[in-house]
Amino acid sequence: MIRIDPRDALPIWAQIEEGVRRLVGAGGLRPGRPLPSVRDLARELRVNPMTVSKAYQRLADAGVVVVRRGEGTFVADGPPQWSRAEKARTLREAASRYVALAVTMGASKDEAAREVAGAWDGAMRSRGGER
Amino acid sequence: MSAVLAIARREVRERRFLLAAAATLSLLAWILQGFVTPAWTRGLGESLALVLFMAFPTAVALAVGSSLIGRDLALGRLSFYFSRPLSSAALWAGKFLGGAALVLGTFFCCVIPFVLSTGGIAREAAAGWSVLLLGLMAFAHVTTAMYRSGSWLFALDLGLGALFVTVFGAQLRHLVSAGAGRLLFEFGQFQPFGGVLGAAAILATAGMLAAAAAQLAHGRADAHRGHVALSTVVWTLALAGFGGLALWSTWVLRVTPADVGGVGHPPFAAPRGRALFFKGSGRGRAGFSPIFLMNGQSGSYVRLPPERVTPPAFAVDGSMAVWVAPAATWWEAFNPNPVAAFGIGVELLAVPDSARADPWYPELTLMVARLDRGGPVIEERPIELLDAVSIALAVDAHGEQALLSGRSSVFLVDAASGKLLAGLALSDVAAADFLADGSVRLYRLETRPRATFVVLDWNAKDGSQIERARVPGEGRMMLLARRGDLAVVSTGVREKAIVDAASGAVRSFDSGFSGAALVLSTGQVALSLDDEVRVVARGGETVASLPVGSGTRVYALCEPAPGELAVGLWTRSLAGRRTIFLDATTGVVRREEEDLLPAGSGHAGTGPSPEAGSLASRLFTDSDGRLIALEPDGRRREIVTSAE
Amino acid sequence: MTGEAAAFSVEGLTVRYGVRTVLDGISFEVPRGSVFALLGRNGAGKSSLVRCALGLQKPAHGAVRLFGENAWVSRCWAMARVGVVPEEPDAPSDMTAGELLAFCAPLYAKWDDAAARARLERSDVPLRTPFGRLSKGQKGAVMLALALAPAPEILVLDDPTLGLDIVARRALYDELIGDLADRGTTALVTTHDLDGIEPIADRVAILNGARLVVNAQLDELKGRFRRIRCGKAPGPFSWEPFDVATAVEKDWGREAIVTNFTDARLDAFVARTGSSDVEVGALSLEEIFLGVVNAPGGQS
Repeated sequence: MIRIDPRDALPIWAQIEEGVRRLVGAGGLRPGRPLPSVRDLARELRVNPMTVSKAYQRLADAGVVVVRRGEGTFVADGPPQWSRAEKARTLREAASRYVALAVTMGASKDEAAREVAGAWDGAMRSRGGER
Repeated sequence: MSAVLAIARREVRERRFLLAAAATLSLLAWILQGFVTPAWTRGLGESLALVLFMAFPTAVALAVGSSLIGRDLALGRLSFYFSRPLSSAALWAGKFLGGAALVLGTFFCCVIPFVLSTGGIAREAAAGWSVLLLGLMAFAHVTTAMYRSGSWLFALDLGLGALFVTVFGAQLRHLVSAGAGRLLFEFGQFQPFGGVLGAAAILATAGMLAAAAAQLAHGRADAHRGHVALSTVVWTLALAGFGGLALWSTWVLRVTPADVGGVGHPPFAAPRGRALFFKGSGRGRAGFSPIFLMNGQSGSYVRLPPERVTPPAFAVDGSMAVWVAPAATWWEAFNPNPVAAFGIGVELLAVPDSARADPWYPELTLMVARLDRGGPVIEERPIELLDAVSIALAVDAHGEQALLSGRSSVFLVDAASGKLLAGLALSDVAAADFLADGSVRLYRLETRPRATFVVLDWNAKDGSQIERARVPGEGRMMLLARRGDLAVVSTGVREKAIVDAASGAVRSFDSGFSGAALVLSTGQVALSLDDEVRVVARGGETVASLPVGSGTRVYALCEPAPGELAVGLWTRSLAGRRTIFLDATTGVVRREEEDLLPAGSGHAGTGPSPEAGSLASRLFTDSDGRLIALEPDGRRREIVTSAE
Repeated sequence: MTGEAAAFSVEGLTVRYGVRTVLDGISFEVPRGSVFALLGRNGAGKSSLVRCALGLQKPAHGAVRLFGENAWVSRCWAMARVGVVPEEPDAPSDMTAGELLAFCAPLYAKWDDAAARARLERSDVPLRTPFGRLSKGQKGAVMLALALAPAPEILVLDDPTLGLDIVARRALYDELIGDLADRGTTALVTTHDLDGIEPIADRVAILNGARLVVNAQLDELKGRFRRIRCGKAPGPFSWEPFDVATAVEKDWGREAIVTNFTDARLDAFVARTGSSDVEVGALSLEEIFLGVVNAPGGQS
């Protein structure tokens, strides 16, 4: 479900972080559900457990997941608590990446916006319309 | 400790097939010996037992030794041990403990049928074999480790090894040619596998094991560095060992008369003058005692190898001694039956006695010692003869000719050159004298067709022989004493005869068992009979008599001063050692010396009586074996000194 | 943990074989809890370094220290805390896996026999077959199990995946990662399987020409090593401000592997060349390694 590509410029922990976010966003991981343990995910991905730890830590700091001592890591119940500035910055960074990609492919602004809307609808659908 | 045992157990388990094979063969040999009826299988069983005993443990020792560390090292498996918290000492101990268990276990299995077939094995031999096998194991390890490292050092090791063997062998040979060959196998009273070779085996084994420990500690899993450590330790210890051997040999061979403590056998003393030959009682350096040719007055001496000195013949004036030196062959030098030293009573390599008389045997040397000048001067002359020569019997007054006796002939030899001058086919010649006219008086103890004592004069120039006396006897006749024309011979178990060669007269006495007799300078003869010592004049009449109680025996007689007879007496309890001095013409007892007995002569009766009053006639021994000269003023002077 | 000293430190290590210098004054430290990948071509000196680290070889100069103690002098003490998986499985071939466990157990203060047996079972290693008759993968599994059973603070793996098939390789990494997750072990790994070690390694060091030419965090390394492609532009050309490991000219343009990539430098480069079709790509560890060892004069 989470895949990492060692050749990607993005560090592995960031790939894991994004992977979890994607899963949570698309509804693959519901609120309150447990994430794989650091050990298990590390073995499955064949990466250093510290890397997985770091990703989980960042997700916990961002409020996407919650660490319960002795029990494991779970998807947060409510939406993550972001500050407005953080939320704006994170979205902007992701948007810049998307735009850079679209521009290099020669897409127009409308085409790019259309794809965004379509992906949003699709994600909402797979989450069962909870939002 | 458990690591050591675990490693040892592993080594044994890996090679347990060896123990199984040994046990199986051992069982087979035992069955063949004991339980199968045809006789040939019994012999087969015994042969198998012998082969097992000697060959199998040896092969196992070599195989185990070479594979203990060598195989792991070659296969790169030593790193397994070094990657674990195992000290190199524990690894070394475990490996060699396991190897020793295998080797000694195999030996034990193999020795059982052998013991059953021969009835036993000496403890020392078993210990010695064990040491030897462990030494072989260590040696196999060292050599295979050196070879397998593939390093150029191996060539150096071979060179050093050859050098070491050479110098070690040279040192051993030096010991043997000095007459200390017995030390190779024994130190004093210790049994086989003591001695230099035994000590060398033990030290070499320990040294090689130590070198293996250094190899593991310094080289670890690297074969070349291990080889460096191994070679360094081996050759350093070899050098130290050789140095020790050389120093020890020097110390042993420098034994002095004082070190040996006393005479072990009656000395050979010159009839006139101060020279005497004697051999110590072996208390000296590791039991080694050479024969000392000593000036009895000054104490200066020369050491002679004991196996190269046969009974010497002295010139009448004591100025010269001549003896025959057999070449010291390797076997004769230290042990007539060296294989017996290994615990096997098999006469595989002993030299049969008959071979010693074989003319084919190595060459002989005539040793001529001039005794009149300061210290004895000894020269050697090779002799070429056709018969194996036993001993020198006489030297003429001028020291120019010597008479030698062989198995079946006597030979007249030029003392200056060793060349044969004349020979006479005559056997059983026990003694000889050179006469004033140049002929030689021979004293013969014939055994065939009957026991007969014959005195005959031989003129070598014209070959003529004149028989002077003939005395028949019984059993084994012995020459007891002689001087001038008179000789005393035992003609039977209880009979003696005084023979006058000038007249041919023979006077017999029923004398009892004692063999002590002496021809005095006065021409009278002192004889010990059953219960007395009797001095008899030429005509046969008794001149003097000293009663000897029952339970007291006469040891020896001598004439310390002209006309004085000394009678040495001893009783069973040894406390009764004493010598009684009496006037030979009157029989009056002059004095008694406690604890002393006349030293006697190595020649027994076959040598001429020493001149009365000479040092030879005044030699006594005390109860400690010390050689004492009684001075004319009655003072006792100990002969054995350490003056050089 | 044993005191405050670094788990593993190499200080001025110099190793010579005759006249050939294989390692020339190598120094680095392996931080506790990290996975340190030591890379190099065949003959670069990795095995020599590992041998020095395990007290099997005495260096010409310098030392390797384990927990502050000289590895050559205190080998026996150090090996109680180090688990070793050698390049060639070196266990005695007549001992079975069970016997090997029984042999090694009393040597250590702590030994988890149940875990070791579980590991062997996971790798399908029969306990009663002599070691010599096991397959390569099974042998490797046994060596790893023996190394991990005493819960060592440091693991030294010398090319542990050499000759293993994909299944055995994955099983080995599986066990390793599991151990890392459970105990935070410090690991020094030398390997040629760059793809396999890449996701696991924290730090990477590359030996080339008897020297340590790279010693960096992997993330940082991947950050500054990039492949840059740009189209052919007229006029004189240089790759400044980049340091170039390798550069080639192709008919469609130019390509280079640069070693000091930052966004700022990229902007400067784009501005200078005025080129619009500049492409930046990430490099795998394999490509970084090739770049380093093929670079003229090496890198640092």
